[in-house]
Order: sequence, then C-alpha cells, then structure tokens
Amino acid sequence: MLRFRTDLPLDRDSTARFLPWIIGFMVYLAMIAATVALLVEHVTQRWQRDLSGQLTVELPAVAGEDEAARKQRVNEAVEEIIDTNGIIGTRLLDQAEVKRLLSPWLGAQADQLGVTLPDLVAVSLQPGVRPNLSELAERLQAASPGAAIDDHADFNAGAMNFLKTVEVLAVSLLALVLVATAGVVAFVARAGLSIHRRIVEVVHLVGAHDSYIARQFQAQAFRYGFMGAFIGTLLAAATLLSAGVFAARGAAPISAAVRAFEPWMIWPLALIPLAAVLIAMVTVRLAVLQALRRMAY
Amino acid sequence: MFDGVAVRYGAGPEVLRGISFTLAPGSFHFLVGPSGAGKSSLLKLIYLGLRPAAGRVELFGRDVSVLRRSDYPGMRRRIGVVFQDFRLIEHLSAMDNVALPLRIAGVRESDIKRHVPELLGWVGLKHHLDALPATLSGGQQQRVAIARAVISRPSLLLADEPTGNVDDNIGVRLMYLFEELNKMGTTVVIATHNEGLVGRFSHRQLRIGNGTVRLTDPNAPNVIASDAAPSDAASPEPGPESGDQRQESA
Repeated sequence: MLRFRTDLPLDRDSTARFLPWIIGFMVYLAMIAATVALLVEHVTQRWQRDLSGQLTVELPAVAGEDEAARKQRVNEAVEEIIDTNGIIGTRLLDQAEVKRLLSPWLGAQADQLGVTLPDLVAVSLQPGVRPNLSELAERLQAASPGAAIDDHADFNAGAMNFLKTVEVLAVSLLALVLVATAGVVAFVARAGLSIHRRIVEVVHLVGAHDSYIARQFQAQAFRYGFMGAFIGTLLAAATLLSAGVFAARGAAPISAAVRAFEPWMIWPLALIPLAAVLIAMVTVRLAVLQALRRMAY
Repeated sequence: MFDGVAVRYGAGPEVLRGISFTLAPGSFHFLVGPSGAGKSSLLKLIYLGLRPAAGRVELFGRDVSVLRRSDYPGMRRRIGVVFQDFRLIEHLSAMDNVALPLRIAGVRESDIKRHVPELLGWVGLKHHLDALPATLSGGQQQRVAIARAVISRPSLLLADEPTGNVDDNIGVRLMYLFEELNKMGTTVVIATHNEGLVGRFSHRQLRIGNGTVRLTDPNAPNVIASDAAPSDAASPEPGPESGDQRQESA
C-alpha cells in the first residue's frame, strides 16, 4: 500500500517503523481533545443563549399576609414585570415547583420547617433587548416589598469561566499534540538522513538537488502519516462510539456531552488526520532541507 | 583549471599544496601516484566533494568558490565519477543504480529502460540487470559503477582506480570504453597506481607525489611541467582528443 520508488531505503530504518503508531496515537489524542473542545464550545454557546434569555424574580412572602392579599400582591408584581420593555413572557411557578427547586437547600420536607416560601416568577426576555432592570426593581419594590431580580449573572459567569478553562485546556492539548507530532517526525527524518548519509552523498554527487532528496523523505512521511492518521481516526471513532453507547445506557456525565454532539462536528474532526499528514510532510521537508544545507557536499 | 590549490583535512597538514594545472576540453589524463599520495583528494576537488584550503579551482569556466549550493547539482550532472569503493546503492538493482543519474536528471522512464540495459550489456552485465550489488563480484560491481558514471555522457569523467578489481582483459576493455567516451568529447581523468596499465596508453600523466603534481607527456618526453608551473602548462592538449565539440574548459 502506498509504495513509492525511492533511492534511499527509508523503510528499513528501525526508528521510522514506529512512526505510524506514534502518529496514530497523536491523531487519536488530537481528535479526542478536539471533540472535547467542540462539545464544550457548543454547550457553552447553548447555555449562554438559554441563560441570557431568562431571569427570575423572587417575591418574598410578607409576614401575616393572608392568601387573597398574597395573590393580589403577586399579580400586581407580575403586571409590573410584563409592562417592562424587552420582556415577552412570565410564568409563575407553583409552590410544588418552588419546593422542588429549593429542596437541595431545605430538604424534601421543606413545608414542615415552618418556613414561608417565596413566590418565583420565571421571566422570558426578548432576544437582543436588555430590559432596564434597575427601573423594574424600583417598581417591584412598590408592588411587592423585598422583591429581587436574579439575572443569573454570577452563576453564568462562574460556569462560563469553568467551561472556557476546559475548552482552552483541550485546545492547548490539541496544539501540543500537533507540535509533538512535528517534533517526532523531524527527529525521525534527521535520524534517517544520518543513517543514510553515504547514500545521500552519492545521490548528491550524481547531481541531485536537495529538494530531490527531501521529496523521498516526504513520500515516506506521507505514507507513514497516512497510516498513522488511519489508525488514530479508527481509534478515536471507536472511543466516541463507545461513549455514545455508554451515554445511551444513561452514564450521566457522558450522556450530557454526547447529547451535545452534532453531525456537523464530524467535519472539523475530519480535518485533524489530514492536518497530521500535512504537518508530517511539511516538517520532514523543512527538517531534511535544513540538515542537508549543513552537509559539506 | 587548478591554480595554487592546497588541500587540508581539518586542522591537519596540507595533503596537497601549490597544485596548478589545466585540463583541456576533450583531453585524457592519467593521474598517477602511489597509494595515499592524494589522488582521491584531487578527484574530490574536481567533483566538488571537497573545498580547497587555498588556491582557485575553475570548473567549466566557473570559479567554484563563488558557486551557490543550488549550482552544484547542475555542475555535477556534467561530471561522471567512478569511485574507488564503487559506492553502489545496496538496495537498488544494477539497473536502478545505473539509472540513478538519469532519474535525477528527469529523463523519461521509457528512455531509461532503453539506454541502461544497452550500456549494462556493453560492460558485460546484460544478464545481471536485476541483481543487487551484494550478489555481484567486485569486478561486476566496478562495471556497474562505471556504467553509472558514463550513462549520462558527462563532459568530464573521473575514475578512481577503475581497473583495480578486474582482470587485465576487462581492464583494457574498460579503458577502451573510456577512450571511446573521450573520442566523443568527454574529458577523462583516470587515477591509478597501475604503472603497467598507464604504460600501455600514450596519454598525458599527472604525477602526484609529496603533495605536489607534475605533468608528463609520453608523446613529448622533454615537455615536463613542474608542480609550480603556470596553470597552462598542461594545456592545450593537442592530439586525438582535439575532436572535442565542447567549448568549456574543465
């Protein structure tokens, strides 16, 4: 497969024999890192979009207030919210839902604690329009004292920072893997040049340009790079499919990530093996040409 | 053309010094001297395998000291070299070894497949086209090396002890091959320590010893150039080689 006629017996070099496996491993790591980066970026964008389109208004209970007064106060507050420019919808959460949301802090038996739960209003925002929240807060204070607006900014910022950190790490790993691939390939090319120094000398002396010799190393880099890319892609595909199977069985941390995978992501991932082959060829050419220039003949 | 050329390896003493001579286009010279006298070093200077420590070397009308690296291949393609140790590429067949200069020069495969077997047949190896060098005898390897050196009809042919591993009959036959090439205009320099072989032909001799070179001409024994002689002492070279159609001096 992929055999080229070469004047240098590069296939016989023991240092080069492992190159397809090394490139394969690098391609595998790069594809996994790239998948993580793509998923995190995708999730981050979706999350940002979802959270930036919503906010929550908390209406604390007023001590000694009866049910009719409570309903009127809440209705007035909801009307104040709806009257605000940039708000397109509200939904008053029922008490059962509020209990469920607060259960992580108050426990399942929150109603037995004697704590009066606040009313919560989920507010939908018009995309691209930022309502004047400070003005809304003032009006809400009049309608329902102690009302608070939570635009999830703190949570949003913390979560985004975490996701961005993960994404930067994944992209850094991807870059590191590609640089390491170039380094290994350059090392193997220089070793090959050193092993075949005598033949290279003969080839030079019968009139070969440096580029003629570099092309022979490039052909080998293409062949080994292609084999490595194939191995790495196969392993990465197997890993991602396995993750899909685990996700289908309900492995929580994986399933969330796998659900975020979309078919378009295959295209940027498919560029990685191609990039590996290209990097191998370009690196070999540069390394060989540089080493040849240092030779006396 | 060599003018006051010296050769030194590393920081060692000068192996050759004050070498001055000119090889006229189409000339035929023996480079004669005992083993270790510096014949191979002199040939290396000519085929651009070594830089002089001092002096000036001009090849095909160009000063080699000002050549750029990219100029070397073009110059070397005009020089055929038969190395003393053959330097055949072990994993290539006799056919591919001989075809190497042609492939490097970009000659079409169809032409290669026509010319290379023909030449290998001429040197008595038509049944060994696919043989690897390791399976050939020393003499056969030498003939492959010679075929590789002459396949592209070089302007200048350098041979380092080309008959060292063959019997007298084949040695003489190879010499006739070199003479044929010479008649077609190739400048030939044969390095040898075989005085018997040199004596059978009436070509000029560059005698090397004690780090210097002097020219002797069997056809004109009174004309002897010393090692310090002007560079034109060995030139022009009249005689049977004057039919050269190439204009450059080597």
